[in-house]
Amino acid sequence: MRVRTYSSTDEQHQFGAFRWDLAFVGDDLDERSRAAITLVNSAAKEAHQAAFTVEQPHRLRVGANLLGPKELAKLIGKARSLVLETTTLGTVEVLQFLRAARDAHLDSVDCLYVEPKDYEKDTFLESSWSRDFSLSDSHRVAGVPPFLPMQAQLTDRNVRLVAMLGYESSRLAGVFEQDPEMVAWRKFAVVGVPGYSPGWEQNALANNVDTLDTHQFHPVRYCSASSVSGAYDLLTQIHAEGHDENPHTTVAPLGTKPHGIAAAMFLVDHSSYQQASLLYDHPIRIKGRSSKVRRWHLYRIDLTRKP
Amino acid sequence: MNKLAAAQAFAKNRSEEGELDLWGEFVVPLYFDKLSLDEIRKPIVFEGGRGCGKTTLLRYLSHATQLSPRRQITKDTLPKQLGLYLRADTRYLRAFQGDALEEGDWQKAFEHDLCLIIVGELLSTLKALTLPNRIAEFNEVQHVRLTSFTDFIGDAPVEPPALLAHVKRMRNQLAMWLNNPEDEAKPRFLPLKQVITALIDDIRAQAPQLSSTVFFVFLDEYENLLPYQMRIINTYLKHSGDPLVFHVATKRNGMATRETLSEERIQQSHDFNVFDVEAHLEPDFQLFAAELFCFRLRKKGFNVGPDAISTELLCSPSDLAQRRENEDYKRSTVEAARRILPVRRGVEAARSVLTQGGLRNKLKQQLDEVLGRAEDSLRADLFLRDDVPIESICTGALLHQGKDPKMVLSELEKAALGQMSKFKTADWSHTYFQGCLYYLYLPQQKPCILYAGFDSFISISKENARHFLELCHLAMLNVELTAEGDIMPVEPELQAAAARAASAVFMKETQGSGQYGNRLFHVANTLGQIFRLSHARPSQSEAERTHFSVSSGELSEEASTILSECIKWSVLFEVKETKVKDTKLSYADFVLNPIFAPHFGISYNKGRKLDIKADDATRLLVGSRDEMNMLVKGYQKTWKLDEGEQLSLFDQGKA
Repeated sequence: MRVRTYSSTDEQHQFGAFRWDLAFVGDDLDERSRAAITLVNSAAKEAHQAAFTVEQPHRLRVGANLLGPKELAKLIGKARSLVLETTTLGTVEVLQFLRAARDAHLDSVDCLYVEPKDYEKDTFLESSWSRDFSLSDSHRVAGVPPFLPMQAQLTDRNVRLVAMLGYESSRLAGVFEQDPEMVAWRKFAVVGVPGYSPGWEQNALANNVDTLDTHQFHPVRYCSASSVSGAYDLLTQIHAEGHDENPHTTVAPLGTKPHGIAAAMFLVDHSSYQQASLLYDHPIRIKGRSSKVRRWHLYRIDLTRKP
Repeated sequence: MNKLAAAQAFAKNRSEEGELDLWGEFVVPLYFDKLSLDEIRKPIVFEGGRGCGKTTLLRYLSHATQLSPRRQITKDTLPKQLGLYLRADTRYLRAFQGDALEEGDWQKAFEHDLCLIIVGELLSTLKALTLPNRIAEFNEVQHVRLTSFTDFIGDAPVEPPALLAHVKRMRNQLAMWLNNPEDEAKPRFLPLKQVITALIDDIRAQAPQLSSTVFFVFLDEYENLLPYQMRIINTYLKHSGDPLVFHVATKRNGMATRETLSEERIQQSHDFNVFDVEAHLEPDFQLFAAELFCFRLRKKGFNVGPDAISTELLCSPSDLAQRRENEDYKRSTVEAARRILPVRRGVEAARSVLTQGGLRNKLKQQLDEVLGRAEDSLRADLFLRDDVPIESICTGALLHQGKDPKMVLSELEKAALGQMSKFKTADWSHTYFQGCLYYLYLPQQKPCILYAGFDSFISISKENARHFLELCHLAMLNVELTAEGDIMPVEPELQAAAARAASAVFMKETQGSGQYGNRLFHVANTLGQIFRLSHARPSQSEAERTHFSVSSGELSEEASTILSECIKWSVLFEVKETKVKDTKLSYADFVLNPIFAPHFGISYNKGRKLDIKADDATRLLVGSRDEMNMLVKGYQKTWKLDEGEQLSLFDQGKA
């Protein structure tokens, strides 16, 4: 897959002209969500709300219906152009829509994403964790078909974890606690540098440094926090390292949404022959987690290109 | 041998970091014979917080260790029961749900997966018995043919090695189907109990060495299962017995349901016994920790502790009595640990406070806050006497409680002269000394000296081997060696700093505590700050507060869930009390895990209690960040007022 990126600080200037047959949006959680949903609703002929829940791992809720992979592909196959509003959709929803779009033989999928001006910070009295952020509450590691690993194979393969890191240190610590087998794997981390705003990358590094150190990660790799293509290239590169050793790459997209989109593209590309699997903690995002709007991005993903 | 090796001895302290084969590595806990594994055929629910050693115990009891290639095994030394270890894998098992299938089909799919894992484990035990150096003893095992498996899967091979590969393929097919249930053919689901017992029958009939072997299934991390999966395991617990017994390990409050697949529920004592790992560790934890300490250092080549400390003694369950009952052995082992990790308590600790500028100034300031208000004020220096350091340190708090400075000074003089004083008769020293030490250290950069010492490490780690090992790991980074290569005692200041660093690591780690990890971290942080504020009260009227109870009402359901999670993840320990309070016959105290104490600068002992009203406790457990901050600020305000009131009382007394 390849990505073309359109970015602007003013949605009307660049983005007002886009039109789509079909759109999927998630929950309205903050100012930027509202702005993004408003734009998509006015530019798409048909828009549906969608959500993945761990209790229904084989389905995706679209509007009032729970759709399996075939039904999803059928719904998407009717449209000629599709936009995913990824500010509000979660990484798993993006992943399932991309997979369905590929199954429905769509040429491309657009992903809209709006950066926040600021994130909600934890302000604790005398807290030594002053960089901590309150972006989500509940975290449960749970598999997402068809991106589950074959457990019986993992012991014989060169398994590596690629953790894409964000601001919430609890998430990386949590996946290690809930999936301790990873301790024995080779571990890579990807951090968004530069961040959306100068200095933000420090948060991702500072908040995760203890876990990276404890679990002996390889040197951290960097790519811009808003770059889908950069993150996708990094994933592909890491996966290609040691290609002779029958590698299996487990991706944990715990960082920015553009990195989550890249992880989704990588997984759809590499899910055959058990080359890759997803490790995800399904955060429940907090309302009012960010304030105002910074930059708008539209990522046009070309599904016709093979990896 | 270098000093780095001393720290490396403690670097590995998580069970996941180790191999499945723990032979020669696992120090058999002193409670081990209480498990009575040779006799019991009733399932055990191993319960305890993370880090207490459940996983290592289960791995020790499983075939990878029992039949370790490093071990000499004969027909006579073959364990009577062989363990099959499996861990509930969250990522994978949570995909076995949803309306893609009826719940009955998910049950069958889950049982099928479980069955394949157990068959794999069973076949691995046979493989371990047919290693080249064991063939002579276990010749029949290599000729076992598992024909009964073909009753379920017609084309399956009957030779164990080929069947092992076949079962692996079946697991892959199951994963493929689980990934694409719409496209892939549904595998034929195997009935667990029938398959496993049929295979055991085959083995018992053909290999006389295994004719009476009982197989124990150890399912680790039971709490990760979905409710229907727990019901299936509960059913197997209920129907356990020769030749297949199920045991599970879980965190506290991890058994979310007692239901089975039928109408029956499983009952403690009747269907299973609970083995509380921490409670069993507690009586001998000091010795066990000292043994771990010496053993790990001896393995790195250091001559620490009695020569009896060896793999032969500690890694074998047969010498438990000798370890528990030989007083010389016990004393010399504990003393060896104490020598390297010395304490600084009592007079010594008090003296070092009086000689260190920052701490002495803080005490002087504490005294001046009171003395400065009186007209005929005494000088603070009069209360700082090197000949009675413990008593001197308590005077600041006594004055803040409104006691007459002249009277306190006169009692101090009596103590200095060796006469009976209220420091003894009214228990002033005993009641206030430790609290005053924490108080004086709170605003300092350096951590309180009371965190140093082997015995302090024991209290801070509270039956948690992992916490103890991490405390040792960080403390030993500062170790120095003599010219002969012996380990020198680690300075108490450096130990205290190590304790604070380890405490911060584990505090941060609470964020990874399951579904509500972030919330649990915030609860611990808020509570730690409240207790810290309590320790910062100059009067020390409620010294060393480290636990709370809920009064005046009930917690909301949501708050009760978080409280239960706090206990499950050992953020809090529940201590049940049986006495009448708020018209209830029994109630519970909740103690903050002492591993967090050095981070907050508070006491690691169960000191005084804080009664928190149910509304405030709900805010503490499920409130927004702002509400939690408000709660902390509320205590700050109230306690400042309290201190002010007491001072004004004293002023009145003077008038």
